[in-house]
Amino acid sequence: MKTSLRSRRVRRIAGVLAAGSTAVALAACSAGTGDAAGSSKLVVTYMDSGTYNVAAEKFAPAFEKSHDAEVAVEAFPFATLGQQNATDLITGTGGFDVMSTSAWDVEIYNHLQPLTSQIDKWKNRDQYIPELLKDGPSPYASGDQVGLTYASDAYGVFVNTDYLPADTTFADWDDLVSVATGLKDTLPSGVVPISFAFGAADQIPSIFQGAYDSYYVTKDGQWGLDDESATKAMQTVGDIAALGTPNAASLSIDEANENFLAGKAAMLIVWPSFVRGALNDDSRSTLGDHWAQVPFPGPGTPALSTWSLSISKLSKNQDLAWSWIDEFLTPEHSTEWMFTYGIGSPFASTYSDAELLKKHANDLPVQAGNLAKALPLPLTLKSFDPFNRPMSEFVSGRGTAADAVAAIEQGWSGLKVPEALISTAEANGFVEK
Amino acid sequence: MTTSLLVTGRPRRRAASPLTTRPDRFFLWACLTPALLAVIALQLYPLLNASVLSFREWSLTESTDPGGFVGWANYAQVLSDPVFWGAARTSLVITVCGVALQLLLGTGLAALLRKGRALHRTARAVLMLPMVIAPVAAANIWRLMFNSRSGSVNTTLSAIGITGPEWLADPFWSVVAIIIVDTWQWTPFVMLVISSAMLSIPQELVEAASVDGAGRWRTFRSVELPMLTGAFALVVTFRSLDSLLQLDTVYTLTQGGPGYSSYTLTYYLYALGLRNFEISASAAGSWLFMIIVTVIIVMMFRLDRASREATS
Repeated sequence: MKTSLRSRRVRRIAGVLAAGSTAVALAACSAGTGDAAGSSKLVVTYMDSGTYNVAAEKFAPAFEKSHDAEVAVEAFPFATLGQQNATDLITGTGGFDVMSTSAWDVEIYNHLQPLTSQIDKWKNRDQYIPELLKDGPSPYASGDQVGLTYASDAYGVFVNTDYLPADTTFADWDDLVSVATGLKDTLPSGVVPISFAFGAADQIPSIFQGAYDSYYVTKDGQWGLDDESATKAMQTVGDIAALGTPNAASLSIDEANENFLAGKAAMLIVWPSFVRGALNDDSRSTLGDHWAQVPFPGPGTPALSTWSLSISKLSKNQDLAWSWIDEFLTPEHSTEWMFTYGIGSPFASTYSDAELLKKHANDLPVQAGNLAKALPLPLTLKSFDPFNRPMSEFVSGRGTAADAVAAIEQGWSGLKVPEALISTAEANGFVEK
Repeated sequence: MTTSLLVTGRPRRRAASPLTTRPDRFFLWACLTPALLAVIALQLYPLLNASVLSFREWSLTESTDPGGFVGWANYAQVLSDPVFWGAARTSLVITVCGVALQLLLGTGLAALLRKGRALHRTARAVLMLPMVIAPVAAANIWRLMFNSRSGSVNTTLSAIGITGPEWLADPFWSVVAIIIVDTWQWTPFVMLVISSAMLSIPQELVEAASVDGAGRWRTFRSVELPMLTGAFALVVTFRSLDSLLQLDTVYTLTQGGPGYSSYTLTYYLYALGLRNFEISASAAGSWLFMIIVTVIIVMMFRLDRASREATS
């Protein structure tokens, strides 16, 4: 069958158009990534916690005005913030100028801009907690500081002063367990000795870290634990779970806090920044001023959580990015945000302010003391999963403390410790001697 | 082609293809090319790329470029990981139990609601609602409901004298919780497909069975059920695939915990690739996962064929 001349022409044109559109589509695909950040645009990442990101969003308009710049605050939940930062850096995308980084991001520290020279000349350096500038609490790569901590928190123990005195000091975790066990029979019905968020598996290692006083990295540079000490610390974790509510193993952080705030627990073990705001708010707490933070027991160390602001090496706005860090991180902002949003201030001046000390005598001195001795675990996210999951299984009744320790070591056996982490672990005494 | 048709004596269906001239063929290929390129770019290339990566060494945190070829090392790494086998077992348990329950409930509901009365139509519409909720949102709702102290599930159980378990903190019950959420959300899909299949069963057959003295259950079991085999095969295939591939429900509800007790294969691959940035091991795991899924699908098709042959 012959096609007419006209229809052939139509088909030819359609064919050319289809081929052309394919070529255009292919060209568009191969065009590569554009320059996401313009010369006066700054993209900053924060954790979507309802605190850090809110503080950043509050600060951004003034910064935009004074620098004639546009700031985009990109907030991501904890579960994906590290991923977002890492993907942006290691794929060379360069979409973020300033990043909120934590100890979990150690594997990408080498992609961050060294800030040592800026921090040496930084105007607020004298008021800063000196320990927080060290390798470990602060991110370091190849000897250079690559971030400045804007939020710091040390794991804490709070007591309800109706059941325990405000100046309680536990000799160690065994002592805490012993005191809590003694309390069990004396507490009113419906009140438990300890509230802790065992349902949030990533929180459990904080108790382990407090009760364990040995190495996390072996002599030959692998992740590993001292079996005997680790088993003892793991047993302490189990003992504390047994001193909680019947559903202790499934409590979320909010639920654990709620128990304490409602007067249903004599002690609360938690990140202070997660509960401080509520404790100071009578509409959210039934305790009034009947609470106190007490020194974190040993023989281990309190877990340290720090959020630092770092600059991507890929950022085209290095100066503007540093200006953001410099102006965001001031003693005034940090003190205000500590009591508005619960963000732990990294400035010593916050904890030595006479007026604040008087107002928060049941909290601030202990918080400052805990911060000075707190350390981050020498782990990456990759090694944290095999660390906390066996603990979670143990708490939920599967296996013994020794089984959990063996499972952790089995999970770590195929993993390699990043070079940057070994020096940090050494600096903090976490390497086998 | 025309000749062969004449030789075999088959009737000629049409005179000739309208696309026999060179411009016609050019037109044909010009139209097909964009679609073919899209298929190659979106399906074939990622698969081949993942296949190549699975034989190379590449941890994104150590290098931005893939390293050298390491043979089967990545496959060996995944296969020797006890977490992988635990995840495979959990995925299988969730899929088998979940799909079986959905099939049972979906078929029962379809049979109950097949009459076209207004009440049945309304019930069908209401029952479809879980299917249109995003799995993340559904899992969030259920997370609240599974709270062992204040959640509505245990509150209801306690009202009838049963002490509810620690749904999300117990290694066994956390898996049961995932099966419950999956069943709640996807039973309506099974009901929808089986309802449609039931409507296509010729009524004369049902009436004939009735005339022959068969009761309602006997008619359903001996007449209708065999005719639903095709629909069952379709539903089982789709739902098994979906269930094996689900990540959002597990991520939101249990995060794979407590411990590794509800760690599924997709969660394992997610953690390996997107959290640990072990790109090559993740590619090897993805291929192993694809092989497992393909084997399951092939088995289902064979079972379906065998069942059809037995019925005919």
